[in-house]
Amino acid sequence: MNGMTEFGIAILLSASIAGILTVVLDNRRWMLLSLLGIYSSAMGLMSGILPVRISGVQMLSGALVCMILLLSQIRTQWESRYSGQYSVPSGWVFRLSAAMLVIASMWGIWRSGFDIFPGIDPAVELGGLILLGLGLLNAGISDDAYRVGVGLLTMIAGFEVGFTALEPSLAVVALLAAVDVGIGLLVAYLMVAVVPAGPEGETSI
Amino acid sequence: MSVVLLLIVLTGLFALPAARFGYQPKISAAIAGIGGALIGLFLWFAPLDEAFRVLGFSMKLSGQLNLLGRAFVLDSASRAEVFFLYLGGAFLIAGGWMARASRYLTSVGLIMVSLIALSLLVRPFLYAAILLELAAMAAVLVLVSDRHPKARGGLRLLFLYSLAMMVVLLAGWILDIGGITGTTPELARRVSLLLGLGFGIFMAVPPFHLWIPSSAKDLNIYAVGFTAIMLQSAGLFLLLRFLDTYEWMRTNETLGQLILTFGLVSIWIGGLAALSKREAKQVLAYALIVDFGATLIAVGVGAPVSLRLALGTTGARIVSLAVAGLGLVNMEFDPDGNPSMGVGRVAAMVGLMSLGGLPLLAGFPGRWALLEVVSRVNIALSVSVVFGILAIAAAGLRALTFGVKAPADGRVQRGPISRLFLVGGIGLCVLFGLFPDLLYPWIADMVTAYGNLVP
Repeated sequence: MNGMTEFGIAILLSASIAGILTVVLDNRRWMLLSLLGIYSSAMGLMSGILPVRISGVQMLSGALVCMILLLSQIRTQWESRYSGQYSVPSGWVFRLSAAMLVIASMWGIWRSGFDIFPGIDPAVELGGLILLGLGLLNAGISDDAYRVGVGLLTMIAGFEVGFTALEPSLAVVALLAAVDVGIGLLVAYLMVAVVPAGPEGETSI
Repeated sequence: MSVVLLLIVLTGLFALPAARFGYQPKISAAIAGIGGALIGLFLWFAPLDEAFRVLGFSMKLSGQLNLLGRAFVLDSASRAEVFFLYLGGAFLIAGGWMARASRYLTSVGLIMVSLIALSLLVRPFLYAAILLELAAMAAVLVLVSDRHPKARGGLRLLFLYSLAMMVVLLAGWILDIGGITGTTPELARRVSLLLGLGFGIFMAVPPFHLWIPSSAKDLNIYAVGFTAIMLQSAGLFLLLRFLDTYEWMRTNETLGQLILTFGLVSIWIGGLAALSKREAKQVLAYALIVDFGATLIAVGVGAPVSLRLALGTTGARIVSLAVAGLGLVNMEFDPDGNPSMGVGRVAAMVGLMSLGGLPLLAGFPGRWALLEVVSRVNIALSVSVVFGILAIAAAGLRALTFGVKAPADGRVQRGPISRLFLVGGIGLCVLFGLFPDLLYPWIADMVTAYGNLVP
């Protein structure tokens, strides 16, 4: 596929599967595990073109974010185990179809030669685009802080993959890692401070 | 010692005790408000690169701080912007004790102002996008709290700013690497698109404005106004900085037209939406969007006088919003739950009308001068500005007559100090309306810092 290595294709597939799982799954524990999978795949994609000390920063910040989200789940005693508060009607079949459509669109954009991240490794570019698209989808379909947070983190992970390949400076990686951790903390705050109350979508303390 | 480092340290020094007294709004607001004003004054008056003596010690302040290989520079342009932001932020934070908003409004609000200030100091300034994303995160804490737990508006804000961060970073990278000139139209078009999307979000241009009315409906209106104005001001300064730095942007007619279109869209959608709403909080949110639209038109026209107006109206907006927001939150109700004609309602009316740009109030001189400028450019622009004024006036009058609900958590308990604050706010709106020279010139003069925009 357009000069991709077998390793690149494998990482790309794992990033796509992890991304799809964050969209399709409702169980927050499994979503968290999928998010960790996204960060691992992102590190794999970046490790081919960047020194490990730079790609490792993203993995580290990703692991930290997952830890924060895990602790906040434990803090709320897993009382909101499912992220099922959607702004649009969406069962898992709908979400799976939407995720496949997003991947197809990103594939189309990548094939069309509209270089969003110009001049970088094709597997890295496609991987970044797919994560960006799936993150956008996940953040857009829900009003649930946890799902929107996971969507945002996926989206930013995709952007980081592409952008750090363009601008491989420590400052960019560090600032984007700070953004990751900030979003993780914010989602944890919203989960602890704001607890969904019922099917009407109303919230209460 | 670096002034920028002092900015960070001083912000922390004032934010920490403000957070400690979070449940005592008066003390917290006093600490953060006075602290913010002092930091602003310090940044304005601090002698840079000159030796001076304090308590017998010789000191020299530098305007630069290097962090992770990137520089934060306080120069003449950014000095005025940062001074304005801190003073405006301090003004709003100081009044925050009456707003019954999140307890983080004061402490995290001050940190948010400092992040926005740092975004104006960072070089290369494409990194400002990341700092603005961090500021948006702080804004979510200001908006969503145990008192106002609905997170929808905050999540929308975070989503939009994450998107803006990405596109501005990408556009900035292309600008740095691509070396865009008048002879690279394809690259210029791509960057214009990316920057258009990014600044559309920063300036809350419809449809990227949705977090504001959504937050106004569910959350504290004063906190919503505070975050919207601070973030929009940062977007405005960043836009002016881009225009000042890149010649192709100043000379690109498409970009100028795009900014004017953004302004028109904001005024018409904001005005029509305000007319369709009955709730006063939502009308105030749309009045802000109309006002942002007027600022964009002033920037889009591109004349030195209109750029001065764009900055001047930003100052008037802060005063108007403070009065309208505090008035709405502190409105009195009779035992049946109907609003009574007290000082709270008058303040809400005066603030909203001032934001709309009605005569004799703080927002009017800027709007009137803008009307005069755009009437020489395009009649459609003049019609739009007039429509914005009339729409907000009509929607405001209707909403404050029929669209005010008694708070669910009981009647407002207001003491003499809050009454004094409200009366003082009303007085300020009228004073700046009658004597605009007291407010407009010193803010508008900031434009001289953009040497290429205003030769």
